[in-house]
Formats: sequence, structure tokens, C-alpha cells
Amino acid sequence: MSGTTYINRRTLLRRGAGVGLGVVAAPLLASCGDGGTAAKAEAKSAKLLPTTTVRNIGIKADLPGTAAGVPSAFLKYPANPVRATKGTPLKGAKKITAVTETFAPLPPERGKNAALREIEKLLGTQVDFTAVPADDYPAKFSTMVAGDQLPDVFMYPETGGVDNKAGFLQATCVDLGPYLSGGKVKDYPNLAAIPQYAWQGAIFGGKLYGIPLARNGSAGAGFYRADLFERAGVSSLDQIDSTDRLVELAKELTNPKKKQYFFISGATTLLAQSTGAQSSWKHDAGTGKWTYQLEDDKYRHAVEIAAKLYKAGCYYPGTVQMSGAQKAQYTDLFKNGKGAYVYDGMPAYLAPATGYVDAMAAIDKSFDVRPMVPVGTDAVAWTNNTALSNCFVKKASDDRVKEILRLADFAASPFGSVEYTLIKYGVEGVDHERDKDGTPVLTKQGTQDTTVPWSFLGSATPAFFSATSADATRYVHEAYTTLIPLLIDEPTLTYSSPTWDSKGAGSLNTIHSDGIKDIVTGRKPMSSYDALVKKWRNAGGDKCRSEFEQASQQQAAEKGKK
Amino acid sequence: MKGCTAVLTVETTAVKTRRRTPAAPAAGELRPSGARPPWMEKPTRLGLFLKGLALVLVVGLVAYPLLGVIGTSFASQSDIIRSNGLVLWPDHPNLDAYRTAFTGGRVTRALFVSVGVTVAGTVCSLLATIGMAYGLSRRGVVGGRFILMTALFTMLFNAGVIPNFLLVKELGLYNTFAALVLPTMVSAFNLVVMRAFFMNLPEELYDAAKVDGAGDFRTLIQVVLPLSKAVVAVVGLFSAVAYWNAYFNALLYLGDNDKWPLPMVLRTFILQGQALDSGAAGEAVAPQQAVQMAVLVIAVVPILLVYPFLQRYFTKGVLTGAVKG
Repeated sequence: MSGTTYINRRTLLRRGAGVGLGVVAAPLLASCGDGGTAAKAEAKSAKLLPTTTVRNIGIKADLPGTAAGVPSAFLKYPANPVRATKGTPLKGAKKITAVTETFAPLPPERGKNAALREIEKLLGTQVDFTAVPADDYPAKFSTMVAGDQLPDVFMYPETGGVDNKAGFLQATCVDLGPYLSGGKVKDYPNLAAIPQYAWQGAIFGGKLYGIPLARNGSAGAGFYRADLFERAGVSSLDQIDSTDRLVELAKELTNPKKKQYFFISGATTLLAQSTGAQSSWKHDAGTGKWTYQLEDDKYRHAVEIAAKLYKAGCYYPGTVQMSGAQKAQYTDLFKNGKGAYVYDGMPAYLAPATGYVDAMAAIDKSFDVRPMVPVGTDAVAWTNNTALSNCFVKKASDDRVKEILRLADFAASPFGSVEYTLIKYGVEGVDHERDKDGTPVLTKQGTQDTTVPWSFLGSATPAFFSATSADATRYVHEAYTTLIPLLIDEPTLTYSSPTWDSKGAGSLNTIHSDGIKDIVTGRKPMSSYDALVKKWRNAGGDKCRSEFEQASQQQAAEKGKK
Repeated sequence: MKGCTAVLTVETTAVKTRRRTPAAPAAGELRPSGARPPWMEKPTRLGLFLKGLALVLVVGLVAYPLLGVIGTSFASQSDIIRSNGLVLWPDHPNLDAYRTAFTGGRVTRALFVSVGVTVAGTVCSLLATIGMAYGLSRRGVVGGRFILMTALFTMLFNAGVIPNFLLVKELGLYNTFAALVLPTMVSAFNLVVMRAFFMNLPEELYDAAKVDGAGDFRTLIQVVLPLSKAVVAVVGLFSAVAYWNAYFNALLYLGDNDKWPLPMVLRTFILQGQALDSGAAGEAVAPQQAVQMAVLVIAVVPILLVYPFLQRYFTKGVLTGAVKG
């Protein structure tokens, strides 16, 4: 890899000294590079955004999506996938290196992976992936940055990136604006289908750097057991017209003697969306004031309800305290019929075999699991799942950047295309077989071959499809038909604050979520809520606020000038 | 300090002597094994019962999770969900999880990588540790104390992830298997244990070897090592277990997934389906828990197989090194 390195005592000592300096300087060098700038708050210019369009490759959705953001749903897998990219998009290109997170086991190497070989054949070049478990990715990423080992294209870690992200991007990555902004994106039709909200999150330091890994806008509000709700006389979620009714229902469906509880793990997200609480920040354009979720009375009210429900014993004991690392443990409790509601993200619903629909059908056919939506007349939905993260392209020649964008465009191919089928299901006959309904069913080999993280190099909004349950596909489509119109504005997508970028998902989020868990579980009284808000503000919350305010005032002043 | 060591040595030897000849019977016969020495009272039934109970509890605490892992690896997905993730005795036992784990050759390849790194690493570690420990155990080695202190310093302070990474990269080791061995080749703890063992060998042996014309190298090979099998076995085992389990260096220093050893591949199975606390909700879908457990079993079994063969050296080696240090 590095070739031969001749080292004598003198060079070793010199390098040792260099390394010593590197300890101090590495983060600075990495984040500033030669074009170092201090991070600053700013409003994201709409001019940078690509002109997005709905992608139509000629495959008709059974339940069509909407321009507002409801994803398309398919009840059957297209019998004849069509191409979503042209010819051999990377013909003649030299090998591309990529580093991404993964949530799956490692795929087999190229020689034993038919799907990988077929995709590379279609692409016209070799793509060398390093896939790193999401938990380990921040450590890997830091060393890659410090050691200047960035690949051609990489996924930015969800948590634990560099401190001055805009500075880092300016120093090491390509400004994609000249390639994608406005109508230029039409050269990459699959990327043009990525919604605007995801592109907004790809702007840093006044430039469009990222290729978003788009998601459905809302993460949803968890899942519920329709059969249990029905037993309590609730045949439609519309019947739950207030949070009080939800509390009654929770008490009714809790029976500790039978080890039956309403909530498995947290419920604050559902309750807060139901009380109409804001998601992260709120910007009042009239007064220019910025408030955080913890400071919203409606959110406080939701926490109060959650604490009361906990006291009433409606939570499965011990599950509120569980972390993401114990997710399998608490979701198993729900799948096993111990709860009526669980909070989890939408991809976990239709996933083959282990997802809620398939796993619960295997336990008990009477379990009727459906996506929940916020309830009551005040309900809102949070724009809290716009993108998993962004991919960035290391500085390279014009032609090379275009090649990498063609790779991202390939990876973002829509549902039902030849490219999508290869990425998700591999090669027919080896990785999957079509069943009597024409649905591709993965073979054992297929379950391994298809874990190559192509979809972390570029991703359009995921479409809904279940190989086993058309009903479940309808339910999830219905849920989004309800959720999308309820979406409220998310100002962090249009304004940026460097402190929020570096601490928002990290230390500030830890203070927030740990504090709420303490209050909900009664370890601290509701009266300590103000102290929590104070702690959060002092830990950097107020700094974020002043940065956001600065950005919005600046934008208002610029508008005034015009 | 030295006097202290001497006293300790004398005392330990005295204890050993006592243990070897416990209350020699008047008739000159050896006490039958298992019989109580005369100075011990007959245990009460309650005492025996409590001891037994404590032993059963401790064994249970250790065995339960292990059996759970093995049981779950043979269970079906619905068995696992029904018993909330840990199956002791699967209702529908099958080998599906093992078949899935071995499909595609990723685990098999990683197993070979791990065996290779462990064997090569252990040999290198032993060579380096034996050489260094022998050198540092002899008096009058120039700079010996400085080298020893430098080694001990690494036990307390570590350079940190990024400086280590930069060093490995600058030495041209990035993405090579050597990066898994060289940075951890000499463990200060193992060095101390081995040095103490060597120092404890009777000085007369060294003198005798010298009189017979043996140099340091011959003394080490023909005199010291044959007497130090126990400590070599122990240090070898410590190193082997450390190489077998190490994943973090592989994560940092290997850019190529194909080179990853078993613990790193195992980690991708185990971390599958875990949500990052502050990450996008539910990006990770539920894992196949049986496969996770199967991979765990695959990772544990080889080292478990080595253990019994080295166990008899174990106590002896560690105690000698530690007590007489």
C-alpha cells in the first residue's frame, strides 16, 4: 500500500518528533487545511439547491407518491426492471475507493460475490469499499482525516465528525455546486429525485458539498398493535382525539399481571408530536427569536404526561433506560406481544424476515402491527429524518468528480430499476429467485452478497415494498399520507450554526435525552425540568441560539437591502 | 528492595515446602489424597452446603450466558423472540445460523487471517519478550534500567489513537498485517512477569553456564528457556488471546475489509441492528440474532480449545512471576 519505506535512526527520531507535533496539530490541520476559515453561522442560500424533479423510469407505483413527499409504494415487484442509468456510466474510469458506515455484516470478497461483480460490470469500473460498523465509524473517520487517508468518496459519520465541518470540507472536499446546483443536476437524473429538504442539509459554509442519503422526511411515530387497540374499542387512530384519550388507552392496555404493558421503551417522541411540540429548533420570523424544543411548553407537557404514564406503570419495566445498543432486546419484547406500542424507525417495519411485519407474523398470526401516527387535534409531525448523512467527494480533477457523481447517481437508482434490483437483490439465480408472485427472494448467498453498502453512496427517498404483506405496504403508505401534511418547518435545514453542527447530535443531545429519561423514570422530579433546560443552555445551547439568530438576522438584513 | 525480595522468596519456598509435606504421618506413610490434614476441623454440614451453594451459583453465573449463546445460535428466529433474545434450549434446533455465517466465505477468510495473525504475532511477541526480558534480567546491562522504565511507562501512559495511527502510517505499515502485530508486540506486563521469572532462577546456574564457556545466547537457549516453560506458556497464551481478540487496531490500520480478522468481522455481525443513540431512527433493522450468536461461538471455540492444554502451566507461571518479582 505505502510501498517500501526506508527508515534509519535519524528519520525515525525526526518522524517521532513530527508525530508528537501531529498530536497537537492534527485536528487543527485536518479541519482547517490550507484554506482554513473559522466556522460561522449562516443562512443557506436556496440558489445552491439543485432543481429536483420526480423520477419516472416508466414503472408505475401501485400507490403513487406525491410531490409533497409521500413516497411511492409497490404491491408487486416489477417483472421487468428497466435501466435508470445510461450505458456503462464509468467506462474507462480508474478504480474508485469509498469508505462508508454499515449496519450489516461484511459482504464476501469480490471473487465470491456475484452481485458485486455484476454491478461493477454494469458500472464499468471497480469500486473498493471499506465498510465500517456505524459504532466504530467515528474512530475510523478521525484517523482517516488525521492521517490524510481519505478515499475518493466517503460517508460523513452520523456522530463524531470534525469540529469545524465547513473548514474541513473547504480544505479537503469538492464544492459540488458547479456540478449540481440548479438545472445542472439533470445530468444525474437519479440524484435530481432527491428531495430539497435533503439537499438543504448538504450545504456547509455557503457551498453545496454533500450528496445526501435521503430519507422519508419524517421518521414516523413508531408502531402499534392494531389488534390490541381494537380490543379496547379503538378501530381507527382517528378515535384517539387527544393525549388524554391516549393516556386512558395506555392504562387500559396495561396489565402487569399478564406482563402486558402499553409502552416498550420511549414514548416521548409520540407524545410530543401529539401535543404539537416543536422539533429541535423553532424560528419565529416575526420576532427573529429562536427557541429550542426543551423550552417549548408543549414539549414540557409531553414530558409530564410521559412521567405520569411511567408512574402509572404503563412502560415495560427497564425498557425506558435501554440504549440503542439494547434495541434488539426491547424490540423483541414488542415482537413477542408484550407491548402495544414501540418507537422505532420506519425501515424496521417492512425489512424481510426480521422486520416487524415478518417477525411478528412468525410468532402469532393475530398480531396486527401497524405504523403509528401522532394523535389528537394538536398533532404535528417532525421533519426529523431528512437524510441519514451526506457523502463527500475528495478534491479531484473535474473529470474524476463527474465520474464519482455518476457512481452516486447509479447508487441512487429508484425502486424497480435494474440497478436497484442488483443492489438490493443481486443476480437472479445466484442471489435471488423470483417466487410465484414474481417477488425476488434472497438466497443464503444473496443475504451476504447484498450487504455491499452501495446505498450509502447515494440514495433517493426509499419507496415502500413488502415481499410478504401487501396490507403492510398499504398501512405504511397510509401513515405517510397522514404524516407528510402534518410536517412542521425545520429551521436547522435552512440555517446553520457551527456549534449546533458539532454538538447538536452529540453532547447537547446526550444532556437532553438523559435528562428527559431521568424525569420520565422519576429519578428526578418534574420540578427539575428548569434546571435541565439551564444545564443544556450553558453547555452550548445558548451559543447555538445566538449563532442561529445571527444567521437569521443577517439574512433579514440582506433581504432588507434588496 | 532486594532484601525484601529475598524474604519473600524464602517465605514462599517455606510455604511450598509445608504444602508438599503436610503433617507427615507418624508411620511415615503419605496422607491419602483428599484426606484432611490433622489441624483442620471437620466441616459442618451447613458449611459444606453453603460452600456447595456458592460454587453452584458462581458456576451458574459463568455458565448461563455461555449456554445462552450456544443455545441461541441453534435456535430459530421465532424461538429467540419468544424467549426475549436468549434461548437455553431451542425448541426447533437447526444449523441455519452457522450455514449463514459461513456462506460467502467472509467468516472463513477472517478465521484464517486471525489464526495467521495470532500464530505469527505470538511467535514474534515471545521472541521479543524473551529476548528483552532476558537482557533486562541480567545485571550490568548498559541502559537496562532506562529501557525497563521506558517499557513500564507504556503500561501507564499510551500515546493515543491518532499519534499511533500516524506512526503506523509513517512506518509504511498502513493496510498491512504487520500493523496488527508490531504496535502490540511487547506488552510491558508480560515483560515484567517473564523478567521476574528469569531473575528468580538460581544465580549458580548462570555461573555454571559461564564457567562451561556458554555465552548469553547459549545460556538463554540451553539453560534458561528449558527451565522457563511455564512462564513461556503463560506469556504465549496471554499474547495469543490478546491477538485473537484484538479488533481496534484492525479497524484503524486496515483499510481493506478483505484483510479484517475475525473479531472485526464478528463485530459487524454483533453491531448489526444496533441503533446509534443519536443517529437516524431505525436505520438499523433487526438482526438475525442466531447468526450473531453463531459467530460468537465460532470466535470463542478455537481459543477455548487451546486453554486446557496450557492451563497446568498457568497458575505456576503467573504466580512465580508475580510473587517473586
